[in-house]
Order: sequence, then C-alpha cells, then structure tokens
Amino acid sequence: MHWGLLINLKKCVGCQACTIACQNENALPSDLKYCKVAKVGPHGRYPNLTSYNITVGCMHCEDAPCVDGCPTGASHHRVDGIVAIDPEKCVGCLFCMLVCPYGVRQLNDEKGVVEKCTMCCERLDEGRVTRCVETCQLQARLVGDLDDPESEIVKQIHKQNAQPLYHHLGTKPSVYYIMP
Amino acid sequence: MEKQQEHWGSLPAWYLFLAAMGTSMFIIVAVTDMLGNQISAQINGWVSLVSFAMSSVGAMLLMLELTHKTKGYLIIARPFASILSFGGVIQSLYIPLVLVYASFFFNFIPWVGLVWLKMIVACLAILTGLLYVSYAGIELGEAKGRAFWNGGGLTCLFLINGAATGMAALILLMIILGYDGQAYTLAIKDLSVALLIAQAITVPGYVLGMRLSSAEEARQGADKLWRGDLSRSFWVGVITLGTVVPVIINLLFSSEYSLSLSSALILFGGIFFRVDFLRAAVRAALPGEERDEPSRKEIVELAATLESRWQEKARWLNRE
Amino acid sequence: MNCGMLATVEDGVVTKLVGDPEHPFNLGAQCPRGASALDHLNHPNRINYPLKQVGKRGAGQFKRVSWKEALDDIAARLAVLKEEYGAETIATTGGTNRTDDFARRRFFNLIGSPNVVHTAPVCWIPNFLTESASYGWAAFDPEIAGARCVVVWGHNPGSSYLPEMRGLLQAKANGTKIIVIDPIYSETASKAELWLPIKPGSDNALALAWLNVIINEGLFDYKFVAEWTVGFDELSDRVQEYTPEWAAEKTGISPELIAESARIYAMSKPACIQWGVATDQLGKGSTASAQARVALRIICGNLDVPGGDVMPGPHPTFVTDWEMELNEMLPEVQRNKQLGSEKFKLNSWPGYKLLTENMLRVWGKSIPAEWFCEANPSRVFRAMATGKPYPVKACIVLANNPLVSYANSKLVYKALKNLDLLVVMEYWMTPSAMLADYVLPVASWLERPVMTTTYGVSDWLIASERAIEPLYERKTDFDFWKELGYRMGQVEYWPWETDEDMFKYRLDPIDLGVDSYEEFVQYYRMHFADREYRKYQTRGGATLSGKIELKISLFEQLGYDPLPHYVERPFSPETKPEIAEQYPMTLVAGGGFMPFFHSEHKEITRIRLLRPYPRVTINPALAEKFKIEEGEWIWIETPTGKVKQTAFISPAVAPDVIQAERGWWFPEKEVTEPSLMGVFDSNINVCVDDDPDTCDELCGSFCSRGIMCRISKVEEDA
Ligand SMILES: Nc1nc2c(c(=O)[nH]1)N[C@H]1C(S)=C(S)[C@@H](COP(=O)(O)OP(=O)(O)OC[C@H]3O[C@@H](n4cnc5c(=O)[nH]c(N)nc54)[C@H](O)[C@@H]3O)O[C@H]1N2
Ligand SMILES: Nc1nc2c(c(=O)[nH]1)N[C@H]1C(S)=C(S)[C@@H](COP(=O)(O)OP(=O)(O)OC[C@H]3O[C@@H](n4cnc5c(=O)[nH]c(N)nc54)[C@H](O)[C@@H]3O)O[C@H]1N2
Ligand code: SF4
Ligand code: SF4
Ligand code: SF4
Ligand code: SF4
Ligand code: SF4
Ligand SMILES: [Mo]
Repeated sequence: MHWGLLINLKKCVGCQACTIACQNENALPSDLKYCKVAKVGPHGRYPNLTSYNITVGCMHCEDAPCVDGCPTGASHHRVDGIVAIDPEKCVGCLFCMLVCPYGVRQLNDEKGVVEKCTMCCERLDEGRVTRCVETCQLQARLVGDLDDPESEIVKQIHKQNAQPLYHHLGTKPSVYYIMP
Repeated sequence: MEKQQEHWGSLPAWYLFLAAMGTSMFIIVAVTDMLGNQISAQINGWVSLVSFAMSSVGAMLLMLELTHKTKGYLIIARPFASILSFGGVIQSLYIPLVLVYASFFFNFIPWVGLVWLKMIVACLAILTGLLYVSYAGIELGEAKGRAFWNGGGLTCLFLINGAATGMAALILLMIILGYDGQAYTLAIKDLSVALLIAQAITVPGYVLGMRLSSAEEARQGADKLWRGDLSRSFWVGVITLGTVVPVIINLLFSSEYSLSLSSALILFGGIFFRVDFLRAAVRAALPGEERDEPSRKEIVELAATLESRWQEKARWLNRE
Repeated sequence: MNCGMLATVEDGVVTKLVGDPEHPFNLGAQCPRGASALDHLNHPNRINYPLKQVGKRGAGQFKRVSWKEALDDIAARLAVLKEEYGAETIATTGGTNRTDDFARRRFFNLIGSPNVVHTAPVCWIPNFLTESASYGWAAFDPEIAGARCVVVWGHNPGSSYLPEMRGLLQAKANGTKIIVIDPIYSETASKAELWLPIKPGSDNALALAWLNVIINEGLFDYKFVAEWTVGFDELSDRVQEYTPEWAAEKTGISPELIAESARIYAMSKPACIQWGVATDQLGKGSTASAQARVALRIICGNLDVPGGDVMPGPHPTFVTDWEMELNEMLPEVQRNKQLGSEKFKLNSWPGYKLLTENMLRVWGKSIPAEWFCEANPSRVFRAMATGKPYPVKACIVLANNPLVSYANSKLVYKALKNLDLLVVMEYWMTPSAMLADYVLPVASWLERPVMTTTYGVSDWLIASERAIEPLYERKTDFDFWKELGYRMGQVEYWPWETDEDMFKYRLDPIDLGVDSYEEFVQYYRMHFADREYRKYQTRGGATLSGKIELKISLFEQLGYDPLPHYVERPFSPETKPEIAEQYPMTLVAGGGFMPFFHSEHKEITRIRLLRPYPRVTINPALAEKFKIEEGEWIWIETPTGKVKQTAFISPAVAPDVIQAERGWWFPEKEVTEPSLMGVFDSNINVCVDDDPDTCDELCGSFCSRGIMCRISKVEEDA
C-alpha cells in the first residue's frame, strides 16, 4: 500500500477550489495553504502563447529530505507511504522547511509546529478520497494506491506517462503530474 | 523568483558564527597547549570559558528560534539519522567538556593536578569541537533543491572562516589579558593572515563556481551575492572589510590598536559571511513561481485588517 | 452554476458542507465559493434584521425595525406613489438568475407596472431571443459529449462554468475539436485546439465571413436547408459581400485562418456552438451577431440533433415560471408604458407578445416575461434621474447590486439617489444598499428551498431542501413578495403558506405521488422531461412560417433587418473618429474570473485573499511603453469615467487591448458617502457607457467588450 496522487495539468483550470476546500477541511488559518495553485505563463508573444496551471502540495517523497533531516522524528513515513508530522514531537526548528525542495512546508504560527498536506490520511483511512480530489470540478486529481498495478492511478500514470515534478532531485515523490 | 531563503534568519547565523568562532579558538589553544606552548597554557582556561560561553549563547539562540522550547531536548532524538540531531548531541557533549577542560586551570578546583584526566578531556573536547565546527556545512549541504549549499566546498569555507574568526577572537582576548606583542600572538596573527588570504580566494571562488553551476537556483543564489540584493553586504562586508582590509592592516602594522581593529573587522566579516550564505540559498523555483505572490506576512496582515474591519462593521450593522 | 451540495446539520447548525456526488452537474465537486459557503452563511456582516435608513441616504444611519413596520411602511408609500404617478412609477431591478423571480413578476403584474429590469440585455437574453425568433426556443443545451467540434464563442467556461469545462475537456480527450473565439488567451483558449484571437467586438464580422465561406464552398447541409428552413437564398445573396478578406481587416484574423476555421466547423458533424455572454455584451450589433451565429448552426444542420445544439423546450407538466407570472393581469395600457419598449422591441412587450403567440402554438407554453420581456435598464435609470419620459419614483432592488453591475455607474447613482423610495433585499450592505430607505435581510440557499430551472426555460428541474430555517430575521425572497403583496391587496394571489407549499403546487402536475415537497427532494431530487431530437420535424418551428427561419419574420414584424448583416462596433475609430486619438486602446470590461462571482464574495476573507485587489491585464509591450510595473495601480479612462486597478502584465492580451476586471467594490472601505465602499474607485462600469444609441438596437445591451480607452500611471498612492 502506497498512497499517491495524480494531477492532470491538462485539466486543471487553476480555480483554487482545492486550496480553499483543503483549508476548510483542515481548519487552517487563511495564510496557510497545504495545496497551492499557480498559473504558469502565458509564455510567448500574443497570439502565440502557451500556459497551464499547476497545483503543488507535499509530494510525499519516498526519499524525503524532511524525514531524514528532522531531528525529533516528528516528520515520519507512515506504512502507507504518507509523510506525516507528529505535532507532539515537532519543536519548530524549521530544518525540514529548509531541506524540502518543493517548499510545501509552512509553520503554523498559532500552533508553533510545521504543517503540510496530510494526504487527508484520516479520510483515506475511512475509505474516502482526499478533500481536494473530491472538490475538483475538473476531475483533475486522482488519489490511489501506487503499489497496486490494477489501480486506476497506476494505469493512468502509465497511459499518460505521468512524471513526478523535479524527479532529478531524487526524492522519489508519490505525486505524479500529467504534463500539458 | 528573487526571494531569499526565509526560514533560517539571522539567529541561526549568529549561532553558526559563535559556535565556529568559539570552538576554533578553543581548538587552537588546546592543541598548542598540548604541544607545550607556554602562553596557551596560561590562557587556555579563559579561552575555554569564552568558548563555553559562546557555544552556550549559540545554543541558547538556537533554542530561542525553536517554537517549542520546552521540548527542545527532542532535537537530539535521532543522532544517527539526522545531521541536526547529530549536531545537537555533539554540541551537548562539547559544552560540558570544554567547561571541564577549563576547570583544570583554576587552582581552587580539586582535580587540577590530574594531568592524564586533563589530556583525556582535552582530546575529547578537541574531537567534539572539530565535529561541532564541521557539521554545519554538511547540514546545509543536505538541503536538496538549494543547490547553492550543495557544493562540497561549503564545509571548507565554513572551517576557514571559523578558524579565522576564532583566531581574531583569540587575539582580542590576548590583548585584553595583556599578552599582546608576544611571539605566540604574532604567530596567530600571521596564521590568520594566511587563512584570510585563503578566504579571499575561496569564498569568491565558491560563489563564482556556483554562478557557473548547472542548477538554476545555485546560479540565482550566487548572483544574489555577486551582484544582486546581497552584493553590498557580500563585497563590502565579507570580502573588503571582513577579509582584505584586515589582511592589509595585519601585514602593515602589529600594534595593539591595529590588531584590535583588524580582529574586530574579521569578526564583523564573519557574521556577514554566515548571514549572507544562509540567505543566498534560494530553493529551486517551481513552475509558476516566477510571479510575485503576496508574502505570507502580507496575507496575514491583510486578513487581520479585513477581519477586524468586519467586526467593526458588524457592530455598526447590528446596532439597536 | 447551481451545484448540488450536502449539508450536515447538527442541532440546527450547519456544520459541514460538501458537494453532492450524485448531482449531475458537479458530481460532488465545489468551486472556491461553494467550498466557503459556511463563511457566507455565518459572516458577521450579513444583514440579519430589517434596517431603516433614519439619516440622509448614504450616511449609513440605519435603525433596526420589525418586518411588520418595514413592510407596512413600504406598502403604504408604494400605494401613495402609485396613486400619484401611476403604477409604472414603481420599478424593480435584478441581476442574474438567483432566486424565485417569477414572484417578482407576479407582484409587478398585479400592481400593474411593466418596469421590471434585470441585467438580462447583457446576459444570455439577446442570444436566446434571437434563437427563439428563428426556431422557436433557444438551443442552449449543446451536446458536447457527442460533438466532433465545439466552437466556444465569447465564452470562458474554464473560469465561469467549471462543470461545463469538465465536459469540454472530456470531449477533447475523446477527439472533439475545440475552437475558442476570444480576444484574450483565456483559461479555455489555453486548452483549445484552435484559438482565434479576434479583435474585441468583431464577432459579427467573423460570423458573417464564416457564412460566406460555408455557403460559397457549398459546405452546408443542402437537404436540411431545403426541407426545413426559409430564407436561404436571401441569406446567400446577403453574405456575398462579407468575404474572409473583408473580415480579416475587422477581426485581425487572417483570411486563410477564417476560411480554415469555417471549414473545420462546417465539415465536422455534428458540431455545437457554445456561446457566452461576451456575445451579448457587444452593444450595438449584439443581436446581429447572434443572428449570424444562429444561421451558421442552421445551415450546417446542427440544430436539435444528437451531438449538436439541442433545444430543450419548456417542461411539459411542471408549472413553469411563465405560468406562475400572471402576465395576463398586466393591462395593455400598462404594457405600452414599458420603458424602452418603443426602441428595444425584441426583449420587451412588442417582441414578447409575438414570440408568445408563436410558442403557444407549438409548445403550449411560453418563456417567462421575467428576463425575456423587460424594461430597458438605461431608460429606467434615466427616467429615475430625470423624470423623463415619466417619473420613476420607487425601486425595489432584489438580488442585484446595480451600482456595480450596470453600465454608467455614476448615472445609476444619480438615479437611485433621486428616488422617493428605494428598498434593497440583500445579504450584505452593498454600495447600492447604502442608498436604500430599507435594507431587508434575505435568506440564502441554505436557508430556503431552491428549485433550479435556468431562467425558467429548461425542460428539467432540480430541487433541494433548506438545510436550516432562516437565521435571525432573514426571509426568503418569495416570502417578501408574498407579504408585500398581501399589503397591496393581492391576498388571493398568494395562496401558499411557505416556499415549500408553492413548489409542491408547481410539482403536482408531474404526478409523482409525493405528499410534500420534502418527499420529492428525498425520493426524486430532479425531474428531466423526455427529450426528442429534431422537434422541427414533429412539432414544426415556433415561428410564423412554422419552419426554421434564416430570414427571421419576427424581426421583420418588429421592423428590424430579418437577415444577418454587419453593424459597425459602437466604439471604434470608424464610429467615433473624433475621440480616436485620445482613446487609442481597447478596453474589455469584463470576463468572469475565479474566485469571485460578479460583485460578490468580496467580504469572504478566505476568498478575498486569493484576489485582494482588482487587476487589469496589460501586454508587456504596453507596460514597457508606460513604464508600468506589475502590481502598480493604473488609471483606466474612457469618455464616461475613470477608475484604477492594479496592473497585471501578461501577453494574454494584445498590445493595444486591456482587460479590466468587473464587479469591484471594497466592503472594508469607508461605508458612507462619497466613498460608498469605494464603489467608484475600481468599478469598471464607471467607464462603461450606456448611451441608448450605442446599445444593441433590438435588446438594448450596453457594450462592455471593445470600448475606446486610455491608461496612465497613478502617480502617488492616491
Ligand atoms: N462591465 C460589465 N458589466 C457587467 C458584466 C460584465 O461582464 N462587464 N456582466 C453582466 C452580467 S453577465 C451579469 S449577470 C450582471 C450581474 O449583476 P448582478 O446579479 O447584480 O451581480 P452580483 O454582483 O452578483 O449582485 C447580486 C447581488 O444580489 C445579492 N444576492 C445574491 N443572491 C441573492 C438572493 O437569492 N436574493 C437576494 N435578495 N439577493 C441576492 C448578492 O449579495 C449581490 O449583492 O452584471 C453584468 N454587468
Ligand atoms: N467565476 C465566475 N463565474 C461566473 C460568473 C462570475 O462572475 N464569476 N458569472 C456568471 C454569469 S452571470 C455569467 S453570465 C457567466 C458568463 O460567463 P461567460 O459566458 O464565460 O462570459 P465572460 O466570462 O464574461 O466572458 C467570456 C469571454 O469573453 C471574452 N471576450 C471579451 N470580449 C470579447 C469579444 O469581443 N468577443 C469575443 N468573442 N469574446 C470576448 C473574454 O475574454 C472572456 O474570456 O459566468 C457565470 N459564472
Ligand atoms: S480544484 Fe482542480 S481545477 Fe481547480 S485548481 Fe485545484 S486541481 Fe486545478
Ligand atoms: S515534498 Fe517536501 S515535505 Fe513533502 S515529503 Fe517531500 S521533502 Fe517532505
Ligand atoms: S520543524 Fe518540526 S517537523 Fe520540521 S524538522 Fe523540526 S521538528 Fe521536525
Ligand atoms: S490531500 Fe488533503 S491535505 Fe492534502 S492538499 Fe488535498 S485536501 Fe489538502
Ligand atoms: S458557486 Fe457556483 S460553481 Fe461554485 S460551487 Fe456554488 S454553484 Fe457550484
Ligand atoms: Mo450573467
């Protein structure tokens, strides 16, 4: 069992519903975003243009610098591949923020602990999909088991040749992107 | 994305600076003492105390940075897995060791005469001290995606600068203790000139190397120092005032005053060096990050303004 | 968009809100606004009690009063005004389709005023009516899933209708070709096969040139045209002059690309044209451009076929909005007084009367008068401001923020200020509400039952229950009309106790054997009437000829050109040469964007933080020329007015075009006059002209796409 996300950038329209729904799901203050959305471009000269939208949350890296680097063990891997943070153990040294190549970790000022996308693990444990997957009108997001060759996510990853972002950094992310 | 690394600010830079300076100064004196140098034998009690103080202050600064200070001990939970934890353990070993070492120089302490014990403590303290000054470079090197720190030479730079600042601090201490003009002092001075010359070459060399790096973010980081928003503090603070000027002063003069001045400049340059190098390492920009978004701080402020305004308006709207 | 939501209610409090996975539109999804609906429900600045203005209007001195006191006083004052000036002195304005608007019309028909206004002329209605005139209803339900080509015309579902965009992208993945016609590289354009970067406002020229190519190259559906249409020969003659070369100069698209795209559309069968409101907002010529588009659909044989432009027709059994309106109660003399109906005849009583005759013959039902038969906004605001042609003294603003949504905001301001009685039914203290004598608290969709029927013209309906009773003293819009109606002597016409009773009454003819509205929602939720394709074969067209009319007889009856034709853009160097030099750039004043809905949601903090300030998109070349930096405030100026927005530098717009966001005001700014929450600071409608001579000749739509303008830097932090 290894949870992963597949994000289809051919479909994402950058509406930020995932950002807001995630904030509501996790009762986050408005400046904290587990899932950020950005528009790339348009690049080029009018009218020869290209652009797409991208959403970035925790990549749940298999080789996670944040887990390796965390001095307290607060950042850890769950058996299902999710990178989680134990708020009891986090002392807020911010080293994980320094070493995460994707810049997805943020300090929750109220709680004094570092937070990031949890892959909605409670929801997954209950057999539901993540909130961001549920909320996406474009069905640009898919969550599933990367270990199961029969799962929809694995099939789609192969069919559409999805890749993680910046895999050259070698962190082995569990989030795949279908590039536009 | 011309933003700077914003997670580790100046407190960690001070910590790195103090730790490297204090430890280097201790190592120099402890080693020369073991080699039989008279003067070091006379001063190393004070030096160890100063080093102890610096490391302790540094450690406290680090604790200050933690959001959960009471749980700070957790930092050393994973010494063999996390470099930061390892550093924490080393630091917690070094600090008491150097204090114990210091105790051998004060006559009222009962174990003063136990030379073998002093030797063991000295060796251990030097060993942990060496690890202590070196791990910081390795630690930063772990930050995948911040390629500016990933160069293998970073630890070297940190060591050179640490040693140079350690020597400067040592010289200042010796002046205070009235040891100026001694051959030992002058030797340290000459050594520091050599180190500074090395620094004058390696530090710009490192940045230049990073400017030619294949990683975009390493180039960006280097550019920030070379000609970007950190260039003033880099060229003026680190290179000119912190390196070149003290070399010139030390080569031309050797009075008590000139030495104090050059040492102060070296220390000053050392702080700039740490701050600049921490700041410069930007993260690999993700697609779409080229546009400037409002910073979290701006968002928090705006959110607070809006929310308080809504409350104000609520009172107006629901007035009887 | 009307997505389905599931609310969790604990002890009368809504604690959770998620998309309904079984809803046919959103399949469980939400947009940012849906996701923060609880912030909307519980926001501290929602209006919770009836408020009466006790100081000068605009001074913000409100006093809480009881509903009874408010309604009694409003009814009494309306009665006095009606007595003195006639019923037509009472007007009402609305915005887009939001609430049970048949009740508004019922109330107005019963008091005898024809002066009901919506933003209808710039939203959906001109296209709808042109189609209705040509083939008897609008084919507004394109079957994208089965189409081989979809032309998305002046429409941006990627920002404005996400579920529709999902369908479009699914079709694309299955090989459907997508052509987007838009001057701006929109979200939708960025995902299309082919984007035609048209000059703002030149859609008419493009459509005519497509007709020219398709007819001259013989790419049309001969058989269909011969059997089911009238007017083809005249059309064919008419479009000869509109060659691709002619259109190239107007549209900025090369003749080759015009011809090529026309061929793709004509040769991919079936195909749909999915038009958006940009095509309603071209001002003068909007309907003419709709006419040309309608002809394209027809001659290519895409009308009412699977995978084409499908025409729903009215729901056969459900009691539709039209049946609820009591239009027959409005006397002929009052109909004739409808402001603007002498000039803009298609969407007012003259056209509506003819359309209804046609529709009754074929469908047995007509389209609602609400939206489709209205007074002209520009005329109504002028009458309020000047008393000409007759005084309009009272206005009920409901589900609308007229100071922001209608063109020429300063005139709207003058108009509203000049009223004897202004009542606003709102969620929020909007700038428009600030000017009211009474601001009344309305219940939102979580606090009332909702029945969706798309302006009352769909052949399906989707129903939902209220999650909770209205909080505080909020009331439903229906309740408001009903209770005001009681006080105006309409007791017998409002026989329903609750909203639910009324909906139950409307559902009864479907005969599903449910005992209550709640039961319907529980067991059925929705009802889709059976659909047949090619209804022109079985039922005939709801037109004078009974056929599909390329030459629209209804237009002829009203005195308009029955064939597609070219109309020069209302604001262009050709039509206004005297100001061409001073206003060298072209302004697109609109286009929906996430996360806002028109002027709404500015006070939902989480949403606002996604877009704290208004943005005007400018090309990098223009930015360079004016030395403008990203995020800098800049002035946008037209002969009508001047506002500022922050620069967003992007090549998505052409170098001589700027696109300004619509709908801006700042609930956090000073509430009282003259600021009125900054309603004149960044609201682009301050710059948009509504001079009736620049409006569409048939529907009176103002032009928001393609206005002559100029920009300059805002010098200091003004
Ligand atoms: N320049 C320019 N002008 C435009 C446009 C453009 O693109 N450019 N677009 C036009 C279009 S397409 C439209 S539809 C209009 C939109 O015009 P409006 O519909 O007026 O726009 P909104 O800002 O949504 O205003 C609706 C108001 O009604 C309130 N409201 C919402 N729901 C309800 C309800 O159920 N009951 C009651 N009583 N109140 C409610 C909201 O709080 C809000 O203040 O603007 C038009 N104006
Ligand atoms: N997020 C969001 N969604 C909304 C709304 C909202 O306010 N916000 N409003 C709702 C309402 S009431 C409506 S009516 C719909 C409207 O939704 P749409 O029909 O999509 O209309 P707009 O978004 O106003 O404009 C569509 C496109 O027209 C383009 N355009 C501008 N000028 C021209 C022109 O001259 N010719 C052509 N061909 N294209 C042009 C714009 O660049 C834009 O991409 O959206 C609805 N959905
Ligand atoms: S909700 Fe879906 S379409 Fe919207 S930004 Fe997120 S991933 Fe993209
Ligand atoms: S993306 Fe960052 S936070 Fe997430 S697992 Fe990878 S390194 Fe850790
Ligand atoms: S901030 Fe918390 S989670 Fe991050 S490295 Fe430090 S202790 Fe671990
Ligand atoms: S998986 Fe859950 S926590 Fe992560 S971004 Fe999506 S909604 Fe947020
Ligand atoms: S605001 Fe519109 S699109 Fe968004 S969730 Fe609600 S109904 Fe759907
Ligand atoms: Mo609209």
